[in-house]
This record gives sequence, C-alpha cells and structure tokens, in this order.
Amino acid sequence: MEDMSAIVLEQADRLFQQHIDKQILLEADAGHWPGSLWGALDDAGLPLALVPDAKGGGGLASSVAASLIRRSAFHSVPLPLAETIMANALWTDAGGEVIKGAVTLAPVNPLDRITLVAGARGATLHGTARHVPWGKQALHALVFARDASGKAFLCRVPTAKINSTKARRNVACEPREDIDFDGLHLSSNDVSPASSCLAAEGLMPFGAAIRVQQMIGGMERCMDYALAYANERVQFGRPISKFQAVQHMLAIAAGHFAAASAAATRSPRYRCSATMRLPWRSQSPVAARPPDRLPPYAIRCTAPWDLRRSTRCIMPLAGCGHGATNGAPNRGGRKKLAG
Amino acid sequence: MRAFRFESLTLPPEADAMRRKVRVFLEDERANRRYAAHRTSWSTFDPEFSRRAAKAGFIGMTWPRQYGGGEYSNLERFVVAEEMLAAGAPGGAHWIADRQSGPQILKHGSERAKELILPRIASGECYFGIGMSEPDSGSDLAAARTRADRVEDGWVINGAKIWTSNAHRVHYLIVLVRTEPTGQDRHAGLSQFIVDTTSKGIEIRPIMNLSGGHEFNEVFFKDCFVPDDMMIGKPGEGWTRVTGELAFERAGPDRFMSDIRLLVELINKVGHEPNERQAVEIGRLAVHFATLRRMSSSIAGLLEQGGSPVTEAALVKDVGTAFEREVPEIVRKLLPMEASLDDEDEYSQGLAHVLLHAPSFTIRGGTPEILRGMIARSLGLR
Repeated sequence: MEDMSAIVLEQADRLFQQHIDKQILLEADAGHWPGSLWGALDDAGLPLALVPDAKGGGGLASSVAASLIRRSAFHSVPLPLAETIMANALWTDAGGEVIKGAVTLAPVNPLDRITLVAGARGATLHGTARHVPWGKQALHALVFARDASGKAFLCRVPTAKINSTKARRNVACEPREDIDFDGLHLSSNDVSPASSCLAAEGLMPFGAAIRVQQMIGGMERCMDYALAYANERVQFGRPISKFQAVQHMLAIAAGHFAAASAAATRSPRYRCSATMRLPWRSQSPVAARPPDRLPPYAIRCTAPWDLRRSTRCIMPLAGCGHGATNGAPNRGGRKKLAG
Repeated sequence: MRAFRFESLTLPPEADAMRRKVRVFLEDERANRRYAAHRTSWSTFDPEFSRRAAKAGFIGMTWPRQYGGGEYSNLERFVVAEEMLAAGAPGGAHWIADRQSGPQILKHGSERAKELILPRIASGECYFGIGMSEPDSGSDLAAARTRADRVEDGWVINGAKIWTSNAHRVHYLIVLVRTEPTGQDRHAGLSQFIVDTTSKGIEIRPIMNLSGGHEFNEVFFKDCFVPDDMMIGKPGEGWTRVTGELAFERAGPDRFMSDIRLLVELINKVGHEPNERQAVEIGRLAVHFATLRRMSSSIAGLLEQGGSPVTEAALVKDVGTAFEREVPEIVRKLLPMEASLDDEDEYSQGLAHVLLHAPSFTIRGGTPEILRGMIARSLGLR
C-alpha cells in the first residue's frame, strides 16, 4: 500500500512538473484558464482520486488523496483540483455519478446560507455565496443547501446557469466570484440528500480540510526555496545560511511546518460512509496561525519569483473560505467549552 | 528538504488501561485535598506526593524489576506523565530522577550505581538535580570549567555549578565536568559523575527566583571526592552522555503542559457561553495543544522502538515551550483580572503562579537559541 502511494505521488509530481512552468502560472495569474493543464490532470484521473473504483474513480485512500492535494499546492497548480476531488467524493458518496470537468464548492463563507425549496419537478435555490473559487471557470458548482425544515442537500449546479454578481482575484490571483442563486431551478437529478457527515456544518470542514493540505504543500515549497536560497546567496563573504539570525528564522519555520504537518494528519475525524474517511484535520495550527512565521525574507524583493508566488499562494488560504482563520478554532473552542 | 516526521501513534490498550489507573490515583489525591492543582505543577517539590506516586507504581515505570521498575512501555509512562501534568500533580521531587537521571544511570551507570540508586528513586525516596550550567557557561555547555582530577579509587571535583534546581533538597546531582584540559575538540575531555549532595566539599547557596521561591542554587565543589563507580560511562564520554540525557529531557509532555492548569481554570471561569473572542482563542490553544501532544507521543513511540530522536526532541521543546509562554499572555487578555498569589480565586492565583514562572519555561532544558541551532544543523545550514 505504501509503495502504491509512493508511485501515485511520484507520478503526480512528474505530471505537475511536466505541465507547470512560469508561463502557465503567469497566464493563470492574468485570469487565463489553463485548459491544457486541466486536460492533463483529467487524463491522469486526478480529479476523481477519492471516487471509488466501482464508480470509475481512482479509489485512493484518503491519506494518499490528502498528499496529492499537498503536492498540487507544492507545485502551485492554478486550478480547482482539490475542490473537484472533494466535490466528486461527496457527490458520489451521496449516490450521484461522477461530475465531468472542474467542480467548485459553495458556499465557502460560513455566514452564507443557501436555501432550497422542493417542487414537483426538482427544486429552486435561494441565497448568495461569496468568494466562490473559480465560480465561473469551473463547469459545475457543488452547492450545499438546506430546506425550510433544516434538511441538508447537495446540488449539482452547472455554472452556465448561475449569475455572478462580482468577480475578483484573491492575493494569489485565483478567481473568486460572488454567486446569486436566487430562483435557480434544478431538476431532481441535480439534487440529492446530503450524507449525514454534512448535516452539522455543511461543506465547511471539508473545505477547511483541503485548504490545510494546500497550505502545508505551499509551506513545504517555501521552505525548500528558502533553504536553497540561504545556502546560495552570499553576503559579507559567506552564504547567508551561516548567519545565526537566518538559521534561527529557518529553524522556527521548520518547527511550524512540522507542527502543521502533524496536525493535518491526525486520526480520522470526519466519516461519510464506510468507504470514505477523511483523515485530515480542518483545524490545523496553520489555519489558526497565518503564515507570517514563514521566513520573512521569503517574500521580500530579493527572493526569486517562484518563491514569491508560493508565499503569495499560502497567504489567502489562512483567511479564505471555509472559515479557516477564526471559524475552525471557534468551533473547537465552543466544543471544548461545551464539553 | 530534511523533513521532520511525527508519525501518527495509536496508543495500545495497555496504555489506555494505565490511563484509567493513574486517573483513579489522581482523583483520590484531589478528593482527599492532598494538593491544590491550580498552583502546583511538575516543578512543585512535594516528597510526600512522590512517595505515594511511587507506591502506586508511577515512578521508574520502564525500568527492570531488579532495580525497582515496573517494566512498562514508554507509551504507558507517557500516558502517566500527561495525566500527572493535566491534573497539576506536584511531581517536582521525583520528576528529574524519573525523567532523565534514572534512565541515564540505567543506560550508562555502573552496576553499583544502579543497585544503590535506582530502587530508591523508584520508591520515591531519592531525588536528583542537574549539574550542567556554570557561572561562565550556561548555553555553551562545552565551556564547562569545573574539573575532576584523578586520585586513588576516584576523582576530586573542584569548581561551581549554577541554576541548580533543588540542589538543597535532592540527594544527588549528575554533574558535567572536565576530566582533561580543553583541546581542539571542545567536546572531548568531558565526563559525567553522580555526586552525593551530602559529600564533604560541597557548599550550596540559594538563589531566589522571580516569585521569591527557593528552587535555584549555586553549588560549589572544593576537593569533593567521587568514587570511580559513580562515573557515568567512561572518562571523556561526557558530551555524548549529556546530549543523550537532554534528549530525555526535551520531548516529554512537560514541555507543553507546564501551565495547562491555567488553561483549565480559564475554561472553567469562562463557562459554557464564551464570547466570540474567547471561543476563538481557546479553540486555537486547544488545537495547538492537540498538535503538540501528537508530536510528543510520536517521539515516545520512537523511543519505544529504540530510536534516539534528538533533533525532533529539540523541535518539540522549542515549539512546546513557546506555546507554554503564550498561554498566560492570551489568558490574561481574555479574562482580565489582577493576578495575585494571595487571592482566594483559583484563576487569579493560578495566573500569578504561571506569570512568575513562565520566563523559565523556554530556558530550562536548553534555550530556544540552542535548540534552533540544532534544528538548523539538521536542515543543512551549519
């Protein structure tokens, strides 16, 4: 099993390296959808990593899928790959078939509520979801909604049907859309009762879980760059890695990285069904602690472009959707107090 | 990148059984009001408690039975340590002996030292102090100038140690001394000795700490004789021995649970209806705590497999003691109250106790600067 995981991750690494270069990333920053990269990931079956074999997916263990998401962030994949992996896992777990193409998740803000009114031939959605990643570029959005009685549903929404009221980029230049679902009608095929694991907090823990993995992947890339740079950059006649002040900053960063990695691979917490376990945490120290503890000079002007980009990619993750910065610790705090 | 891995550890059923056992013991202690958890911790010196803990089998747990031990696993010992810490148990009398001095003697001491000392530690009757820092060499241990000279059947020690916790009330110190002059290799020529604190030629002078308490001491050695069989290892092995001893010292749950009782008092005080800020900050502290626990237990697992995770231990101590220092700073902002050792309020008293001791958390057992140097070395920066 470990050998198998290593092979999968090695192949994914090779794929990312092969298809991602500075040009792709610059174009993605400018708002261009990297279709050829998506095609390569799709051909390799990565978006279906967590879908069971029987439904045409990769059937990867959730720990391997978590590592895959880390590696995608390590390589700064400028696509909603993690969202698509998670969306397909949840939708097929709820009884649906795999969704073709890129899929995003909504809502991502814990304050946003999408409501569902069931009708004779399907259902109608109401409400707005803010800061939805790749809300227009993804072909579908997997939307979590509740009806008036509080019952939870997952809805497969073609993004061609949605109304984007505001588009912007986050600091990593990833697209974020505000989506107005008011009056959007769906056929009954596009609506499914949500698994019980979604009942309490909807998509938030799952979104936070993928963000944590992405942050760790980004942190690892930054650490790699920073260590290499510290050994290469010469000042005052010697590599800056020989200066104690620099060593200590990097040692502190290594400590945070190790702690974040340990936190993100804790025991199974969310269980959807007998076949689907997500062994990653939604509450990592990195979620609670934005990456300002990374080597500060990593983001200064002398750092290479790649390093600046990786650092930039981590920054929004700490505060982005799925309630990462305050929401997760808040929930943890309340549970602690309630206990 | 050199990655530090802290693999997930599932505690075996016997560790869970041990947890239930130690909880029963600690509940009985508290039910009978034998200590006050809000103002005690693993550094609180209470020989009566240590004797009761020993009687219940919680000291020298991993050691062979022939030396008074219980032949339990490192994981069972880990569970006992974290339960003691969570309960604020006053284990300071036996803590050093149980955590590092005893294991050091068991691993590298003479047979006579093992037979003479280990059963007494395991019965809660014999306590140890650490003789590493000197007036002119604290973090730079290799600069130790206290020396031991060869005499018939033993050695004679001359010099001074400082910041020696509980030297005035422990039975032995493990002392790092120079047995050869400093040469090109600064780490060569050092040796470790077990020194009886009642020996002739020892003078102990108190140093009061920030809270006005007497834990620290200066210890002066003047022609203090130590027999051959009280050397730990061989002459000149001192550096290897002392770094090994520090690995015992650095990765345990005592490196992030020194002030855990303050967090408990805060949670009790806040109650079931926290405001938004309290919920966020308590949740954040709980997450950090859970992570450190995971890292520390992972090291206990490595020790159980016979590993020597020296750098990982340094990393846990650096992150763990930073967490300990952060606790009172966050707590007092969440629930402002003037801290006082005299207050009847347990939160106020606990906060005062922690505020006055927190500065030492990051210093004892190796400063952050030393630990970060070790981590940097393993990252390939030195």
